[in-house]
Amino acid sequence: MNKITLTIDGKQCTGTAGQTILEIAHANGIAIPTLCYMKNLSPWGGCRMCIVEIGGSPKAVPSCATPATDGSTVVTQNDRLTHLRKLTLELLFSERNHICPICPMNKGDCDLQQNGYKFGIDAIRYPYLYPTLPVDLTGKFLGLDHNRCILCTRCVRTCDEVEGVHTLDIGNRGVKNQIVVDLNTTFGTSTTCTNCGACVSACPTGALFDKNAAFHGPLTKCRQVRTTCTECAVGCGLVVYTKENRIVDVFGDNDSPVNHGHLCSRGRYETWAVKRNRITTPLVRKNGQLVPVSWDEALQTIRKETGKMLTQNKGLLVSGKLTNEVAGTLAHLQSQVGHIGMYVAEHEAALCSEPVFTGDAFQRITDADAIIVLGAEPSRLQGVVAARIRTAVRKRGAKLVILNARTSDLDSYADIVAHVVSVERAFWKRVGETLQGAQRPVLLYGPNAMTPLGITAMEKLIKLFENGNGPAVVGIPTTTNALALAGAGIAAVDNVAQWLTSGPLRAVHIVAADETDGGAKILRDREVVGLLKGFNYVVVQAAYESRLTELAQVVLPSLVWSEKSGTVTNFEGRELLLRPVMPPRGQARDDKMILESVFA
Amino acid sequence: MTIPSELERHIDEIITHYPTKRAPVLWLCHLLQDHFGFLGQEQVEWIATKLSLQPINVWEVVTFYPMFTQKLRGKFHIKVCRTLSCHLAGSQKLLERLKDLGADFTVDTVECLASCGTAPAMMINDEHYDSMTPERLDKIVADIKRTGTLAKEPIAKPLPAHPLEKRVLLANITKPGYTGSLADYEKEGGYQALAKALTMKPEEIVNEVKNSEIRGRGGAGFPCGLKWSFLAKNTGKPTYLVCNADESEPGTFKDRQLINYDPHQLLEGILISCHATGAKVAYIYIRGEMPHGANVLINAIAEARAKGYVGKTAEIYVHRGAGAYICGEETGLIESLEGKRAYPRIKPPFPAIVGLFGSPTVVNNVETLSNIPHIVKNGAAWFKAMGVPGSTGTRLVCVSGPVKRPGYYEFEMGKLTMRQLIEDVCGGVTNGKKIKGVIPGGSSMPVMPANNLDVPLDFESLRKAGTMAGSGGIVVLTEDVSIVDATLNVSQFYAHESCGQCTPCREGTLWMEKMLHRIKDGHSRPEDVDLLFEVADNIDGKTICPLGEAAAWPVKAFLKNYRSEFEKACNKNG
Repeated sequence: MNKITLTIDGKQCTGTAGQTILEIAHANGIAIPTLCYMKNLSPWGGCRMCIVEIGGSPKAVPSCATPATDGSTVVTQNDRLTHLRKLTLELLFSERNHICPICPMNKGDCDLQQNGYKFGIDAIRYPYLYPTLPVDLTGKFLGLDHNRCILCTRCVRTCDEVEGVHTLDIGNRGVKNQIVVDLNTTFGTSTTCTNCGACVSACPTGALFDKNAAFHGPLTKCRQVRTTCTECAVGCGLVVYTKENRIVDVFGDNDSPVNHGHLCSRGRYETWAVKRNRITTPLVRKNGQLVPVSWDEALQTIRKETGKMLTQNKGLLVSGKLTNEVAGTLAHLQSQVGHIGMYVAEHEAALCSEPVFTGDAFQRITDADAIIVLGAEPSRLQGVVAARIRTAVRKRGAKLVILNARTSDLDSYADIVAHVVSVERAFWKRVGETLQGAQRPVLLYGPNAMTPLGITAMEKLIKLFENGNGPAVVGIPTTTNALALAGAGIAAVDNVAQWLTSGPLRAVHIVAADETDGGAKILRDREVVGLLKGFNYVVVQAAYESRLTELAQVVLPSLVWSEKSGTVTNFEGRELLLRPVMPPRGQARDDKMILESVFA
Repeated sequence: MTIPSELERHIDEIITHYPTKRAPVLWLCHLLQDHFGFLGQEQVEWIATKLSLQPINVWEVVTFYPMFTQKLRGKFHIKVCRTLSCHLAGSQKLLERLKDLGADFTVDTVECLASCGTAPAMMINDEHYDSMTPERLDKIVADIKRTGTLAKEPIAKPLPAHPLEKRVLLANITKPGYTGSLADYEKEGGYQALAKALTMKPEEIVNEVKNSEIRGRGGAGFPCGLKWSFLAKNTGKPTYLVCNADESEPGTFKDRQLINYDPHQLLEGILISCHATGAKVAYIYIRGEMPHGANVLINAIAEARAKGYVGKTAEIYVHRGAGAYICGEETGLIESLEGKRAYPRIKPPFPAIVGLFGSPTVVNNVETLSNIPHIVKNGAAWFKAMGVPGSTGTRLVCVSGPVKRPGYYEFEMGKLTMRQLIEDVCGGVTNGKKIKGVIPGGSSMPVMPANNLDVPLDFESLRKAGTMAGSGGIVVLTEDVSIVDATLNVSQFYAHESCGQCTPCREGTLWMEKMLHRIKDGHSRPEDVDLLFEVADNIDGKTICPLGEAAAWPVKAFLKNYRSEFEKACNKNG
């Protein structure tokens, strides 16, 4: 790479050929005001805030879109540029209805307002246009107020280039330009929006906002904690904003080596913006009713009932969402509990039998020129992976072959989609032709690839690459930390009913952690409900109420993701840190601590 | 929704003209709108499915181009030109007649129809009407109401040459019986230059064109040979030639004549230029408001293909625009050709390096390309002998406004002054009024005050006079014209045509329009004149594409030269 040197505001700055003036200036600590610029998006160059002068030419060029040239002299600040930027800001303020006191981004979160302060805009000399514009509050999590839009298109570009769905676009022309959702519909009726919230993160004003965060105070005044999302095996970095021990908003962590700031709706919203019934005290069944008790009483009740039981009569069934630290504790409990198993998604046990992590899997998906999805459902389960697949296909022309029983939005981008893997020659010939010549193929497989048919398909696929570059084979479990827990010696249980009946189990302790369904997915097999009812003793350790806790004799409140500390290991094998964002709610305790006190 | 099989076959044929699936979007929009009358959700989704695009990719295009409509219009869509020359010639009077016509009619104003010499102009559906009067309009409407159909409107006859003219490009069109057909063109020696060119090496042609020193006739006046020589070589990608026939600069109506009356001259120029630049495919981007011109070209291409001219060394396809001035800007045009909203691109990279479909591309104006056969046939020296240094060859100028003989004329550049043109060629101003000022090169060029009319018409002389030759569209403003009103009219045009990418232009153009409205209506403050200048100045040179300058220059020049008129209007109520 060619090094170049240029003078910016009298300072010698070095960069690489191909970098823009703005990138080099920022890297060298020179601030240039921006509005439509956003790192990692293609430049728009329209807002004209980042204008600079080059080599004394009177033409003001946008530094965000102008490649730096070796030996050039750039001026980013002078009276003329300041004057022009002020004029631009004035125009922006007068264009729509920017009424700061009634905007959720007031007092710190709005780039337009901040620039206004910075440039001392105290009055607008232009007549306000006062256009009549709609507000879309139909979205599940996001709202769109056109009155506050400055048409920087950061949302449009993010939706297109990062999430890859292109739900947002610009309609009309000139001053009538307006951000549109699908074919001029609303978020509530959009068929393509994934609710990833990336557009809200990208919006420099209050045009796009998180409904649950609006008017809870400026984010700049909130406490910020970086932690890891535990909703799936990707392990995205989060920045959680809290105020008075309440979550105000959750954004992706731009510094995360995993997701680089992008999130899916599960990590961005569903863990906090959806109301769930939290268990805040230990509960013990008395006269058929679960009643709140103290921890001491709950623990004593458990000991009284199970203390005299033989080890082999006791079973511990745990969620695959637990941290590595809890896994360590579980390993120590082997001597006191006869059976320890981890309940997982369908067919996932086979994936856990020989846990394989693929280092740098995410980057490989990003760079792939051919992607095969086999028995995995990234759209539903790992939204951030789905976004990478979409952008690989749409932006870089990667081939996509999907072999999965369920349909998803990714199907519309695929070259070949098969819901039932065919054994026909013609089909495999077609797959072979599609993937021919791929230089950086990736085979992404999920639990459903672990069926006999899936394994046959995988063998056939790998054979297709015999004479070329073999694919990076990436296994992606459905359950967050299942691979690491399996690696720590906790056997994955494929058939819970069988597990419950195979040994002389009399008491079972279920650790459901903060699974969104409260761990009720164990009950997907109707038989299990009957079996659990027949047990002498069922203890459920969970954060949320569910059909499972309704069956329990004792319920122990555990922590949710935002209260936990510890680590999880993502599908790439990265060990990622969980930091507590706020103190435990009520009397909830850490899973590790609960297990230690129950089995002490 | 059903698509007739014949239409679908046509669509399938159009799709083969483009290497990407998105590029045919505009064509398909035209064809479906012609068939269904509008582009609703069903039509948009049909196009998206046909081209394997997301529906939003089609929808964003439909909403950008004003020719496309999402709602069914009346059976007869009347479009009256509201831009400067037509405005001066009384287009407002036409609009006043067009009230309460009933559900069969939809009446709209339209931005410059490129018929300024025969102002006021209008269109009904695809028919074009010149030199309208309220009486004639009443008759046309009455005829439609009576018959329920729209009669064909014949295309105007070519204008005869004035003795002071030197016709090269227009030489054929007034020859007796000349129809512009291939046979007629060949009879006049047509396609001999192509035969000669094909015996030459591409570099030889490029050199010949370079030596001729011909400058682009589109507006910027960039040397054509130099433009060609910038084309990236050995990129492994095809090279494209694009003919810019998006003639929409108010005051300009020359390319229309070259297309309508002598299309093969243009095709021959394109084929030679393809050989010179190595392009195997050329697209003619013709503005949507010229459906007749598009048909003339499509038929001419078919004739030339049958004769083996087109298709042997290069293919030529016609691409129709849909009502966007911004497509005259070459990167906006390229985006539009790719089937997108015509948002001009940030340069660098220039089209010669990364242009159409990411390939090296040269974009030339119709008049520039029509000159190429003559240069190849007669040599650079012959061409250079015409005109003056720095402005070689002949140039088509278009004169509109209140002169006795408005129209298009071809002259050796620099050999005629503005005064000679207006007084001798055009017969002077009607009704003996005094000239107040002249716009020399389309409405975006700075106005020249009346005391400056002895300037010769060439690139350099006009530049020295503080303006530019632009597109050759000359609009004469007489003493009875209100400059505030004219400025407002021009500003309305640019506000309507701003694509909306850059803040200063998107809002500045609208703001200038609103401000001028206020000044005209006498509701402004005295300080608004300075503020108006400041806003114009903030657009000038601060935007991605030159539309910014185009919008700012006329306002700045009108303010500079006629400031007192603005001040007087400001103080009307104060």
